[in-house]
Parts: sequence; structure tokens; C-alpha cells
Amino acid sequence: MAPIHPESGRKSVPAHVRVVVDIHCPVCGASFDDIVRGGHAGCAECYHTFYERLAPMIQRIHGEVVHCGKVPGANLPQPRQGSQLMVKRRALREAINTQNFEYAAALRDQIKALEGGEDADE
Amino acid sequence: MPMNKWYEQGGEQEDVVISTRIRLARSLPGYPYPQRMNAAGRRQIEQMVFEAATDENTAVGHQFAYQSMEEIARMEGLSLAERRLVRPDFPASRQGGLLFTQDEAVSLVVNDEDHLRIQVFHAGLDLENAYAEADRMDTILDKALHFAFDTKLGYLTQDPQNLGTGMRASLLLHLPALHENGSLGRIAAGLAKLGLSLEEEPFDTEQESEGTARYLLSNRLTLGLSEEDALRNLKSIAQQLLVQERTARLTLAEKLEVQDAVSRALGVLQNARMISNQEMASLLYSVRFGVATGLLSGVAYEKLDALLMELQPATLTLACGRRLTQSQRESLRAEIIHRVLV
Repeated sequence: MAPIHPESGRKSVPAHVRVVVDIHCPVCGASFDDIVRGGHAGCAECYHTFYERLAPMIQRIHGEVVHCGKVPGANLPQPRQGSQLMVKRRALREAINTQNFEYAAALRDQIKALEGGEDADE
Repeated sequence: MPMNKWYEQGGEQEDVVISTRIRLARSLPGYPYPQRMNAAGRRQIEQMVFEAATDENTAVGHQFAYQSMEEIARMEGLSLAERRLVRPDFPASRQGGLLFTQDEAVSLVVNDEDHLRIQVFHAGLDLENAYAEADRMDTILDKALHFAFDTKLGYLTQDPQNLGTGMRASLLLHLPALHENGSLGRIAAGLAKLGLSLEEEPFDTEQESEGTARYLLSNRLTLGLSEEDALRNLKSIAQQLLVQERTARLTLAEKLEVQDAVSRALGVLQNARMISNQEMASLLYSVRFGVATGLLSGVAYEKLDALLMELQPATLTLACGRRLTQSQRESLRAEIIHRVLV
């Protein structure tokens, strides 16, 4: 067995490890080290860029919890997903009856997307 | 006719609660936070907030005055801090701006730590209404600015400690009796465990242990708790503190030395020819205590609070409209107090 040379040891660090260390936030250019050193994020996107590594830090401050306060736009009138489905299904029947097949196909895709969204929530 | 300032109105529980403040921290997605941005970027954010807040097609319903920190005169900056509209360091940073209503109840701090902080001040204990106004402004501004938000982390603030609601609700309390009997240290330690902080709030930040017994009670938890729950917790703790303070005041007000100090405070305020900022604060808070305990009558809290706000050095100088030496300022201060209290 060949003796392990320090140089060769350094070279054997897999490429993806070095890439992870060098990640910078695409919006503000901050690295994870910048955030840890300064104690604050560089921009809102940092929370997504470094989500995995920030999670323990956030948990230390707040505990293992998720947001349960205001949601932007939630106190404005919102279309209900169920009601949208109802409207679109009615429009689909109408489109088929009037042989507007192109529109019907588009509506079917939209209905499928909405139903998929509902499944994901459950 | 000049509009009354928020602190000139009466409020609930004002014998103990001087004022309520709600602050919402918000940021704009796709932009670095202010300290990572250059001057041009920051000006762009200021422009966007300014346009959103002054857009006549929205339901904002306020006329905002705008003050940039880039070219602010020193005295103006000091006065904004005295009126608690900005942190004392903010004007000196020469970055960012402030939008505020004429009554100073609603203000928008742009490019301090976060891109935007919505602030609402109300007199006395008024958490629900102050929050309702901050919430309303937030909803309207969000339509134009689309604040950065994540379903798990809530509003994405610069400081991870504010994640979630981004809300800090604070009550400025006058607690002379609890301060005097030395029980506040123990109370504050207990409150910290409940996610609330109780800290002394000096009237004049340059002076230490001045004995005005002003304390700021505020929420610390922002993630995992709704705004309504945070406000309910804060209010319930405040109400317990109110009871304790009032009980302790009864004992304190029975002491002849205390009655003497209150009467002397009023006497000095009514008759002095020169009063320093520090002396004014200490005496006016003694009188405030006297009114609350029934030792004095005929003075409204809001009159005392307005004097405390408007006779601070920079604010008084600005109102006078010309440069004043310290002795000219102290003499003018005494003259105005005399007019109000005699």
C-alpha cells in the first residue's frame, strides 16, 4: 500500500464537496460563512439557498416550529380552489356541448392541475 | 390647523401604559438587504416604497411626509430619534429614509436593517387597534411590493430572530413603584422564560440610571405563534404588571417622603426659570406618578407626555426655529412648562 501523501490526500476530496463550500446566494452573493459571521441573512433568497444549513440555527432561536401567523394576501378576497374547479367543470361541459374542443382541452389541463394541487395538499 | 400628534391623545390604562408600538419587519424579494446594497440600489427600494405608500389609487388613506437620511440635518435626525420614529443610529448612517404621517402615528422606515419597517404608535394600551392599522398598511403595501415570504419561515427578515410574523409589539410602561421596591429583576427573568422581554428604557439614552422608571415590555417570539396570540400574551402579561404596579403604588404613595417629592417636583416645574432635559424628565415623571396616585389633580397624562416628547433638546430647538445655546434652551423649556402647568 502506498503511503498517504498529504498532497494526494487533499486531491482526493471529491469535487462536489468543494462545490458545496463555494456556494454563494444568487441574489446577494453571500456565502453561508458570511451569514454565520454576521448573524443575519444577506437577502430573502439566502433562506432558500442555504435552507438546510440554516435550519438548525433557526431552530436554536425559535424551536422546532413553523410560521402560523399572517400569510400575504390571505385577508383579501381569494378565489376558493373548490369553487374554481366547479366553474371550470361547468365551462368544460359547455365547451364540449358547443364543440369548442380546443378550449375544452385547455380547461381539462387546468382542471387536472387544480385536482393535482388538491391531492398534494391532502 | 396643525393635526394633533398621537401622543397628545388620551389612551387606555395610561396611568401605567404610556404608549403602544407595533413594528412589522418586511423585505423585498430579489434584492439584497440594505447593508449589502449600494446607494443606487437602496434609492431604488426607497423609490418603490415611496410610490407604493403615496399611490392615490390605493386605500392607504395617509399623507406621508418623506425624509431621506442621506441629506438630513443633524438636528432633524436627533429629533426623529427623540420622537422614537427611528433608532438613534439611523440618521447618522446617512442611508435610508423615513415616511411618516403628520400625527406621527404611522411611519415607514426604509432601508434600516430591513428594507421596510411599518411602525404604528398609539397612546396608552391599544395593541389591537395599533396592530390593525399596521396590518392594514402591510396588506396594502404588499399588493405593490410583494414582500418576501415563505410558508414555513414566514416573513423573511434580515435577522433570523424576527422570522415568522416579523412583528415586535412593545408597550412603554411607567413602573416607578415596582422599580422602587426592586421586584422588576425577578419579574423580567420570569417573563424571559415566557418569550417576553422587560427592559429599562431610559428617557435620555446618554444618561445612566436616571430614575424615570420607564420600561419597555415586548414580545420576543415571532415564529410558531400568530400575531393575535402574541398580542394576547403580551396584553395578559401587561395587565398582570398593571395590577402589581398599582398595588405597589398604594404603599409608596402613603409615604410622606414620596408625597413631599411629588409636591416639590410640581413646585420646581411651575417655578423654575431654567430646566435641563434630564431634570424635566425626572420631575415630570414624578408628577405623572402623583396624578396616577391621586396626590395631584388637574393635569392630564397626555399633557405631561406631550411636554416630555416636545421639550427634548433637538425637538425643542427645531420648533423654536433657530439655534439655541444650552442656557437659552433650558430657559425656553422652563417657560413652556410654566405656561402648561400654571
